[in-house]
Amino acid sequence: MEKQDKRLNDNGNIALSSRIRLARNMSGIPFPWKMDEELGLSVAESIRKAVECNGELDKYGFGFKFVSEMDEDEKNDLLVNHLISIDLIKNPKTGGILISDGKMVSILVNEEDHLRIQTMVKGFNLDDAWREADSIDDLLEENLDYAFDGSYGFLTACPSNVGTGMRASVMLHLPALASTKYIKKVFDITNTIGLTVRGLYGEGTDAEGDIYQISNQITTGRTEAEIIGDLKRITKQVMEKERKTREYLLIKQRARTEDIVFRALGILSNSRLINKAESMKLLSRVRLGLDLELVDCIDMGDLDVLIKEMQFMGKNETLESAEKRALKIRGFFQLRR
Amino acid sequence: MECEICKAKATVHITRMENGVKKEMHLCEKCAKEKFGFIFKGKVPTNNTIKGIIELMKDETYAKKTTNVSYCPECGMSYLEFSETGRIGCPGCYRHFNERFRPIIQRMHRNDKHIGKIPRKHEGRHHLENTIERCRLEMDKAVKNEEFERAAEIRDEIKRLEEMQAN
Repeated sequence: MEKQDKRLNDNGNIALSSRIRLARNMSGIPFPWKMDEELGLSVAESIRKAVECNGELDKYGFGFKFVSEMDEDEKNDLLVNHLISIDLIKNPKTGGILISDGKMVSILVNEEDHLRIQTMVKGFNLDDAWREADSIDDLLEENLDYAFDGSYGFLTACPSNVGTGMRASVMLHLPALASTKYIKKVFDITNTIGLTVRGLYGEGTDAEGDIYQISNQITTGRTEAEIIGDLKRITKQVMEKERKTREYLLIKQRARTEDIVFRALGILSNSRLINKAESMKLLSRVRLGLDLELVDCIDMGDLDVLIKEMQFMGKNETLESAEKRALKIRGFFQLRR
Repeated sequence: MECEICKAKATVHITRMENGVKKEMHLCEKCAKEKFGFIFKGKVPTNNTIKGIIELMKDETYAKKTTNVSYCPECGMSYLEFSETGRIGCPGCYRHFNERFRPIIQRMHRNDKHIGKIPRKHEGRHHLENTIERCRLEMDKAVKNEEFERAAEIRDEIKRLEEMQAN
């Protein structure tokens, strides 16, 4: 019972990360899609300078790189870790990124907007992510002239970001809820209060591996604190519901739950060919088993790294990629049994 | 069902959430148009995508009056280009296309007034003034929506800000 209480209060295994993204643009300069190369390079240069010349930002150890200077592995690694976006990769000449030492903070240059400040914190902690982004934003503004309008707020290339320019999001692993009808309800409720639920890698992506992202859709007419407050409230409710459903699966349907988890483990440890969808589905079940302490010997952090890697391993489904994936997963599980 | 305003046959049914309370409204087409300036015809877009909203706005009578061949003097983007791509050309477009962007932003975010963070460089210029102005608009809206408690709260906030301004 004590164990159960501990689990009920521990939401770390449900919330994977909390993120804040601030979209900012320079005053009097067309947005990236309307800029020529020369202007794009000069914008990148002024952002780089604003970062490098500010002593208070030294602690982050930001280093600047153009997309054109990265190799495929590097791009993949950054994509997996949500540090860059596919949109940025599409603009190799003037698109760039500043990444902090611990890779938890990044500043995208010339993506959809001139700059996007992104902060990421492990677990459910939007407040810290916001504080960090807010302070970097203040420091950058010392040397940059932001496009801002008293009535519209921060001006952005897409009207869906105007105002605060802020997108706050929490990434959640919801294997138990996803197996019930309640997940549909979560979608409906979030929509009515200006939030949205999406797959792991944002708009248009599936909730592979039962990983969902809840974020705000409304960016204006409310303060940043209000937006974050709403998101926190809903996220807490969803996490509680997920926790309760997990406990139900453990207590009332133990045999079935164990069966699902161990079958997944069996396939993952033995398969010779596995596609992305199947691997994500099964890894999600193992992750659930780990949280419910049905499975041991595996570290949750290690498993999360593997899940992330599976996302971007082999963009096209080929026999080779299925084989490579299976080999990698087998290696992971055999090492730990 | 009768229209709540003119008692004609109600054909427009609106459900909205106000402070967590579900409120329903039943109107005839004419009154709905007068009250909201638009009505959905045919398919109601289920998602609030930019393109969906722009497409919807095309049907509005006011949009027909203006043409699509207006260009932003700063970046040269035309409204047509915006309606096709959903992207804005430059910060100046917000001024130039103000009248057309406002309803789109309003529809997308259920609001068009920024009340969040203000960059430090802009603070001195119009921080207090803007905050008071925004509060007034908010208060008007609250009164209109019969949210009197909230309106009173905002009124007190305005009073506090005005005192700050006077000092």
